[in-house]
Amino acid sequence: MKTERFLELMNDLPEELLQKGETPRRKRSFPLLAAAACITLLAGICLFPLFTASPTDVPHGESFGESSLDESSGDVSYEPIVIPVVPLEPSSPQALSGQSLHFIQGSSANGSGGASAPPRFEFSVYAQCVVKAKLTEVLEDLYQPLEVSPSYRPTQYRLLKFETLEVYRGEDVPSEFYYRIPAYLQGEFTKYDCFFLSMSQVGLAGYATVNLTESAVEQLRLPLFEDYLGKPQLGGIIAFTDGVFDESLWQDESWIYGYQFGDHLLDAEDPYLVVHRGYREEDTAAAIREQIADLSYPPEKVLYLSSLPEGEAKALAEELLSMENGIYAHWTTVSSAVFTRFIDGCQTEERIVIDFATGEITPSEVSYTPSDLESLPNIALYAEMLAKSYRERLPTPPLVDPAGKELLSLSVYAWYAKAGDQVYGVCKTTWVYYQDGEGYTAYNYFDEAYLLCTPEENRTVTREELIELLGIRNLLRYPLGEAYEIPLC
Amino acid sequence: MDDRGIITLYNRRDQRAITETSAKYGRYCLSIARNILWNMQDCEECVNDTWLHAWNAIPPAQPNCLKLFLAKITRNLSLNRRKESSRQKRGGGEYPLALEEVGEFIPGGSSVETAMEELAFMEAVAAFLRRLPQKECGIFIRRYFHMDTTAAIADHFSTTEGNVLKILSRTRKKLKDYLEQEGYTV
Repeated sequence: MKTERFLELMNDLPEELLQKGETPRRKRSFPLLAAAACITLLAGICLFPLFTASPTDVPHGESFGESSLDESSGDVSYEPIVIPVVPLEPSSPQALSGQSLHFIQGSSANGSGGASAPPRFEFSVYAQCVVKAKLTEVLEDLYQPLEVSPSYRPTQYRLLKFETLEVYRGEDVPSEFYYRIPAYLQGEFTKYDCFFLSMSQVGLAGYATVNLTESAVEQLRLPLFEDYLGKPQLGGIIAFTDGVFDESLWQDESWIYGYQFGDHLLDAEDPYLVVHRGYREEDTAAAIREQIADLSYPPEKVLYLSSLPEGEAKALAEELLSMENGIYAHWTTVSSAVFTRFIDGCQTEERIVIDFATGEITPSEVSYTPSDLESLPNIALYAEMLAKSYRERLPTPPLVDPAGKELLSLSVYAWYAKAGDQVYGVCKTTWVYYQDGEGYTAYNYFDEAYLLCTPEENRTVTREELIELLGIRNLLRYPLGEAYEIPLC
Repeated sequence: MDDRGIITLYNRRDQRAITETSAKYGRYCLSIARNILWNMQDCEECVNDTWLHAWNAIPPAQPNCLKLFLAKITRNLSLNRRKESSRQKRGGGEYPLALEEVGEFIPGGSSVETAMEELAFMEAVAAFLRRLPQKECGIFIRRYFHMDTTAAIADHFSTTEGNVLKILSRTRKKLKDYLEQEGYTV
């Protein structure tokens, strides 16, 4: 380290230490300075006290970054962790150094809910696309959507490449496509001759997704599909070997519903099922055609960039898919593609909807200019720092008293937002607690804390301040700190 | 006017905020700038820039200690100005002397290079400073944050200049030993 750099970094010392240099001189007549510690951030430049310190380093009677119990009232006071400002280094659009969501405990920030009946296991001909396809490749890498919800641990996927053999439902279904399957579903897909798929389009060719293996954003060469319900284990993928239904695909424990279905129902005469033990491919195909014949609404028309006529909409779609001017995640609906801008792996509110039927372009009110991108708060790093700190020492929530409760979920989520011409970053910490009630009741308790970031400073803000400045986007809508009754079956 | 009142003026975008800040903290910020820069014109420009930075920062910043908030801005601007100046290693001010002194405990080599390593290093320094008696810590802060002269520090803490020199030397030695225990070799 250079000595000049150390003198610069003296600015980053906590305020409580810098205050010691302001101790009033006894010989002067101006009033004594207040001796109370200034805990909250000033000018965004404070040290990260939980990073390396151990309890033995803490002078007696002092604390940093952890809650302290007020013995007189029994109240638990929340002391926010301070995060120093670290500039965001510019990188290429394809580089992905940021992760916006961290789960320290649990996998959902929406509470456990109560036990509920399992979903129905069936091959759904109501799906938009129903095909018979041959597997041509299993991609080795692990993938994750670029756009993740702040409330759930994102699903990791593997990609299967298929060649379409026959289309039972759907318009303009491609001859080749990618199909994403949750990575937690185990199976030797390559040993089967063909599959019947009940699926729906996720994205156009050029779909941007996170390649976790390579730690980079990757664009897929082919259109992307997934199970119609997003849960293939509910029966939306059926395997055949030597022309006969092969239930071994579902017999791994990770295919729990298929396993249970195979155990109890495959021999039953259920007219609504398209497959039974011993069925041949043509039997299943006939069952599918029969059920589709009863449907009254048109099938899905698969979207392609070439579907758009030459003009503004197509030029814009090409630009957004090229990622030359930033990374945009997108998903397709029945007739449109919705693009969302991402910066360093973190979501912004900039959205552009392109209607493939009409060519209409609907941009969001907010857009990020080149000037905005020149100085951005480094929120992906700050989220990582918060998560690391929490893994070393669990933070106490601001409102909820953890006593007698089980911590179900602790997560950190970061996103960008603009208010006027100012770009802000927010790092949100979310707690979800669980507590048994009397009889057949139980309760969830929700809490959140917010770090508001600009290039110059990071500071903790209240929920009211944040909503007034940036709105309620990405915030839990549950009442914070209060018991929220959840039904139990 | 007290700090709360001044901050309220900033929040209301009332230009009197600058006037009040300058009146209350002008000399203080100037003294910080003068400890780092040798040119009076540069000092005054940095202080004026401090008011502009404060105006742009508040809101949304709501500093609890306005004085320190301004001190950090002035300090940063002055250090940056010093770096830009072609005569940074010559001229007056306490900055060159402070540089030499901190060289006694700053680790060499490549042990502190990345932002995360810098954070860890400064956390170790902060942990050390917390252990110090109030006065010793205050003297260290005044020397290497405010870059006050030893004479000014002595006056501030109602002691002799010789005592300040002795305390600073001892503190640097203790910090060097502490950092070596933490794995930072000088």
